[in-house]
Amino acid sequence: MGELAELMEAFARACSATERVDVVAKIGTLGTREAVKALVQILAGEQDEMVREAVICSLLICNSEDVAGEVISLLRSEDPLQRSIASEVLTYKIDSRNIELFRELFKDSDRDVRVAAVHILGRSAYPGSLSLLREVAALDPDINVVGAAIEYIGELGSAEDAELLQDCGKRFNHPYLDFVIKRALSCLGVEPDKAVS
Amino acid sequence: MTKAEFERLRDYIYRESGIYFEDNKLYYVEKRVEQQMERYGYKDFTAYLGALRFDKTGRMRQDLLNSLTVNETYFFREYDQLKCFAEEVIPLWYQDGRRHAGVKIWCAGCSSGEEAYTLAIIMQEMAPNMPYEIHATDINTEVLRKAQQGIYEYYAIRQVPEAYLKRYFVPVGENYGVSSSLKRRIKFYQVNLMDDVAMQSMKCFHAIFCRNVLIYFDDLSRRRVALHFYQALEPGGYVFLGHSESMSRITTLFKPVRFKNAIIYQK
Amino acid sequence: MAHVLIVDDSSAVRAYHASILTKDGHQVDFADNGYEGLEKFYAADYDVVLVDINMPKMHGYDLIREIRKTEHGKKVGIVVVSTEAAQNDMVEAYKAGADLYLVKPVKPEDLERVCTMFSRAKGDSKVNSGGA
Repeated sequence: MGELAELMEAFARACSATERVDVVAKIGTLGTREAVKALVQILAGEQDEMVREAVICSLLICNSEDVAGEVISLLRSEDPLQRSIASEVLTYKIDSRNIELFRELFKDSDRDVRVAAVHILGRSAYPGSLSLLREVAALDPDINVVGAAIEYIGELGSAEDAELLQDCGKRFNHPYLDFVIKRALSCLGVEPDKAVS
Repeated sequence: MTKAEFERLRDYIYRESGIYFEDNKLYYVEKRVEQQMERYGYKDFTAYLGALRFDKTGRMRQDLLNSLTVNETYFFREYDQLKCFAEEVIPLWYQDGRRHAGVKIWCAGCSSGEEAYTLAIIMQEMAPNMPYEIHATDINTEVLRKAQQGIYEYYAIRQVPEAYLKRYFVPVGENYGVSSSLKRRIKFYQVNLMDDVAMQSMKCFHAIFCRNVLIYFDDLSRRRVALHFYQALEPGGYVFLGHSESMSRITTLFKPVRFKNAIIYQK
Repeated sequence: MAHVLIVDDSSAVRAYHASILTKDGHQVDFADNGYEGLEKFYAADYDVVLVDINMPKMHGYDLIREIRKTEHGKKVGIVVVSTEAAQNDMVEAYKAGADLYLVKPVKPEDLERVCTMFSRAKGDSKVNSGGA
């Protein structure tokens, strides 16, 4: 704790962006939840792109539970830059220890938060993402969220997902979803003409 | 590989690397995927894709991307970019007054030296009165030794214009040796791009050539290297990546700049 | 016929928009994030750019602002295509320099109409400038 406080003071006193980058790198090595909080705090106020990039690099090496815990809220930020950075960082930080935090995102009333969560899951290397994406496709009320989930099911799933995808098609009536379902079925090796009613 | 399998993989490759394989590249991709599947012991494409997608180490992804990109080295490789450097960037250096102050160029991941010597030839030809330093670094001391030796087979020099061949090379048996005057223009030494301390000592460069090197790195490593590059460059300095590489999969620190012959990244 | 750049981090959305536009005879390129969108914009002459807002690397507002800084970018048609539908999102988009705002999911006829409109405007400007 003492070390973090010293580093935050050093950050405040730093005369240049280069110095701030050095401090950020040191904060990143502390390995504590408080350090992650500090990095997120720095991100919120930092104007220099180079320092922001250093914060991202530091977040990417921090513990995934800590990062998910602190960065997830940025998905709801008014600032599109913060949202964009959060999406990028979180894609690398999903694992079995923090997946429940991501599951909670799908209860958010904001459709854009749920769409962002689908893309984070879909792009991640977390093996459990597919089953959660299936749940989202089956249950989410928003066509954009469902469409995004279907996109990744088409990439990660199998022919067994055909029925799920057909059912999604029944819930909405829009050429966008018909297209996305057809495309996903095609990727899964299921002939769309036979599958989609 | 079925068309559907190709399309699934293609989207993933594009997302990860920025390289989009058109439909007519199916056979090309298929051959390499088969090699990867054999390497990792998969008989079924879906199983291979699953393993690839969920491999937390990123090793399988790296191997796939490496196999899909052509990674040979020779003099005057990726000519359009070098033309941009010679005919567009160097004149800008003159305009910026670097004629007297000189420029520092870093050839990062120089391998056996072909690119570094190519850059030296271009500087000699296009900026004969501008002082310059070329720092050519690699992690591999064996290739650095070969670079310092400067002896190449025909295959490596096949794109060298005749006039330059006469001016900058001497015959060494059946091979071609870089002239000692050209060799003197380049400092070859070892730098590991992942070594923070070593990278922090690289400063004040006006151009960094790091072509077809970062594709071998994972996302976080590439990002860290790019941040070091940014700090190593003078304001307005340029980064040249391989023509099939893009900063869009690494970092937004650099601004893409459109030149007639290429898009280059600038600090 | 318009040369359209589709910038969206969803491959399915890109493919959907491309399927609508190519049917109408438009030529389509795409980018997966805002930064790549800028690179692609620099590399070719586009008549229309379809821009998603929430993307990794560079979000849509920044991409629009960067495009508008260029000579050609001052003339190109920019259409935001986003899930965000609140009034202030649209205001933000227009302030950044967008010409139009479409809410996802887009209806084919809306996209067709918009690109045809920009294509026609391009044709008109060519006539006015002596068919350059």
